Amino acid sequence: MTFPAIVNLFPFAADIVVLVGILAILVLDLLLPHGDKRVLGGLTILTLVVAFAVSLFYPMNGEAWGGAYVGTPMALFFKRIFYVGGILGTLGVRQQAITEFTRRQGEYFALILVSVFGMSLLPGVRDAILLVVAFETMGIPLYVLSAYARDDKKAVEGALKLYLVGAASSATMLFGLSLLFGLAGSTSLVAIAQHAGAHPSPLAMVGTVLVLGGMGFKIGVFPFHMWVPDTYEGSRTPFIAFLSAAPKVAGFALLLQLLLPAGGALLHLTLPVLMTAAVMTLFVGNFFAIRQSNVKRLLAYSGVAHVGFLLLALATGTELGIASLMFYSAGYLFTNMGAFLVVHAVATAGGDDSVESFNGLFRRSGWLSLAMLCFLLSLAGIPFVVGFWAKLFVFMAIWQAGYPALVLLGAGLSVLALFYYLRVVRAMFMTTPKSDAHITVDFATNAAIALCLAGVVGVGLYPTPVFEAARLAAIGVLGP
Amino acid sequence: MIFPILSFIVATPALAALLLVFLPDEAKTAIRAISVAASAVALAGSIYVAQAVMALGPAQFHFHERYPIIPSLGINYIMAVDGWGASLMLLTGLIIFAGSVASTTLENRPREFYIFLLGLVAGVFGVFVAQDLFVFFLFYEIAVLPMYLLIGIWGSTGKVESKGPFAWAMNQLDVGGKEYAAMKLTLVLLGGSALILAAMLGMYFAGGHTFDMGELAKASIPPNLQWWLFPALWIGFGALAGLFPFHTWSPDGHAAAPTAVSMLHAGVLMKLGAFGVLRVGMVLLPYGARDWAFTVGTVAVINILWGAMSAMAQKDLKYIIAYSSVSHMGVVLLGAATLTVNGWNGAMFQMFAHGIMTGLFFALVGLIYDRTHDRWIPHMGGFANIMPFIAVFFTIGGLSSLGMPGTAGFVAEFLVFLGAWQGPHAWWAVPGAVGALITAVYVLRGIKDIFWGAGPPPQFAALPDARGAERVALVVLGTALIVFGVWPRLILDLIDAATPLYLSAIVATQAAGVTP
Repeated sequence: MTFPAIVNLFPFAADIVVLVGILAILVLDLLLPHGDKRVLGGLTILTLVVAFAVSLFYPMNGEAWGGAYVGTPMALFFKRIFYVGGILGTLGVRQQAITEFTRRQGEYFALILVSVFGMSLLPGVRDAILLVVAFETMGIPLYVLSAYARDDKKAVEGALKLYLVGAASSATMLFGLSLLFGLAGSTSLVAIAQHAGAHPSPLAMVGTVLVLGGMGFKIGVFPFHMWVPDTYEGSRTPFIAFLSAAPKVAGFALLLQLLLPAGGALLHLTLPVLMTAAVMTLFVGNFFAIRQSNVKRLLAYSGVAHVGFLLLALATGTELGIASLMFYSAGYLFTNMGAFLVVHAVATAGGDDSVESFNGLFRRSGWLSLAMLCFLLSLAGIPFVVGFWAKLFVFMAIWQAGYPALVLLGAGLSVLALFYYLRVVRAMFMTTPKSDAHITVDFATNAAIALCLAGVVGVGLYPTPVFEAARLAAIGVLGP
Repeated sequence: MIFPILSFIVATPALAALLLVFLPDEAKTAIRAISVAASAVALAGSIYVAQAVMALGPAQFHFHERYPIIPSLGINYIMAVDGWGASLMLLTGLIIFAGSVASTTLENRPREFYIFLLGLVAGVFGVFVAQDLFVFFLFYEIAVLPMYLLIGIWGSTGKVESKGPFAWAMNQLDVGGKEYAAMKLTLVLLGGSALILAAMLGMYFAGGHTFDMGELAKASIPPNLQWWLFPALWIGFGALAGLFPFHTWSPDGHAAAPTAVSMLHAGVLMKLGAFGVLRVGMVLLPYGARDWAFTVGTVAVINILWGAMSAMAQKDLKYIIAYSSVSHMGVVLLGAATLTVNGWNGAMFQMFAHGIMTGLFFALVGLIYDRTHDRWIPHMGGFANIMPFIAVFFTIGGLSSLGMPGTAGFVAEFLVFLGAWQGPHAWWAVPGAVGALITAVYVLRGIKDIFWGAGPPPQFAALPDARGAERVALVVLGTALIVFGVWPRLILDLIDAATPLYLSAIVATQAAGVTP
């Protein structure tokens, strides 16, 4: 029995699981007494694990909603990243949600799921309207979540920044999309790209750049990166672990859907802008990270630098480049979430977010210090952790696309980056702590860190399956 | 399927390190036993490989292993060994065995020390047997990074007299401090590896999307591309080999490092750099090697003289040895630049000889420092009266360092200068020999100031001589120095058979005319 494409829901098999989870949590939140609400965190994780399992065993290919959504291997790859990110994020925030937001924790978890739901639609969108809807479904819960600690002025300030930037970015993106729609006369991303490819015009370029700018806010591209460190510093760390990884990857997943159709027509149109932004982002991220004394700000700027690498991979516009971007995203998710969760664990144990609070971490918790060492090395791109492969694939793609000078630049800046990562390593291993008190971490956070570490080291030792999945998913994405 | 002996040798230290992660801190005896046992196994393995390669023919590659890592990109795990690789494996085995034996006296967090040390060793072994450029690079980076922690945590901070126009900046940066040294070393070496990575990708894309060194040697990479790639490899690898002017990390790093680490670093890791220049730079990029040989050789000569004169100006014991390494590594690079069979044999032999010699030196310096907690030579004197054992071996090392016949150092320097004389720029031999002369000055003066003269100063009068395990390390290395000096064929036969094959590509380019 075949369904008309408009009601074909098979490409959404995993998303439906998430939707059911959201509804279940919202209903249970009303029914459960306060003392029992802690099961909701477990339910969130269960939902995401089931969704992840569905995405593993069920390909979810095909068109839906009249071609507004297309399930592709690439969409599947990104969905898996988002589900894993959701699982790790929920594990990370669980303890805080239970203790700090005891009465409101149900909504907290539901909002995370809504955000993940929005993200997982993004890599399959083929229509500007669905694009905006999914983008906001992802974004709006994040504003709420970042302001969840409503009595904490710093957190609210960070949330306000995130909200204002988010609103501005949505407006910019919508304006750009309206220009593109006006030119092509269709909301289909493919039609827009085909039109721009056939009739390249300054207006098409302006429209695309505005959309890119709108997304650039979200993923923290120069010159729209200023909010990143402030928000990271102000907001709750476990939430930042989630915010700094999954939505960024989602932003790139969306960029791919916008720029790749019709043989990468819009990509070629905006290549100079993309390249300039990528190189500037690399520079700004790396150079501003050097002087940071707050680890969260340091990781924020390092995240900006990593976005530069991802943009470079995107700008190559080759299948290898796209595959390397996808691999990089997966690796970055594990690495960055792990690093932020260790920061959280250290700060919870009587410290703050400064580099000094990492002093002598090695003597206080060998496990946390070794995990953090692996995360930092992965961020720096040292062998046998995933970050090395990620950078290597990006460099290969850049060289293949004909920019050897950029490889040299990127490799040089990676060495510079090592300098500020090693400052944290130095604090952990070569200084004496203020107190020798052993750090104990709650089970869920520990589990999240362990999973991140498993991802970082596991994929670092044997990158083949993940890379092959990314490579196969990238074949043919540039279209005819 | 044959037993993967090469992977076994690489994996043994790594697995031992992994085992140590799960041992409690208190089990110090077990920690030391496991580490020493792992390095003994590695040494035995490399001795077996060396003699097997000798028997099977050192000109060919043996013990092949090949597993795909990322087939779609042509990245494979390829291991194989010929005479060159086997000789340097043997060196690594000797040094790491002596080093881990000498470190058994370490009391400060031995577990973590051995974890990082063994990780480093796995990387070094890997570089010498990797036949895939990518795996080569992977192990190369692994060998560099643990240094940061090893020096930063277990190193020692020396006294540096800040003089001249940069004195203020030197004080600000804490020059001579162990953390400064560790950071400088890491950044310079990884900066070098950024260049290597770029050159490697260039070779990959020009050589038909493969990292296999055997195929890259056959691939015809365009000569004008080679002209660009070679200097990147030369500087990138050269940074680790103490290439002038990128050598300044080495005295700081070696002076600050704990005993076993400076043994391993000066003894083996600097050879990684020189081996990279030879094996990757010159062999895989013959046109680049031909066109840049004059520059390489001339800078090597500067290295020899600059290192020797810097060593002469030092009063800190570790800095003398460290600068002498810079000078001696210049000899290796000079031998490589001659592009002659004798020069390359000499370069390889010098790597071996200098590795053992420097390993011995740093072991001795470590013993002296452990006792005196002082590295300042003017504070010392007459130590031969209280520590005759150390004095004897220091003298053996010193004589080899200045190229005394009967020691391994003589064979190496003789071959290199012979090669230089036969090569296109015979004058290189002259400053090279002058360097050996200056070496004699600072080595003999240093020995005199430390060991001879009126009895030890009162604060050092009761210091003990080398003991049990420490003597083992000294005897192993000192004996090797003399054995290979008297009977160099033991190693030279391994090296010599492979050299002409490697050189043949460059010889072919001599006829091919000038690069456009």
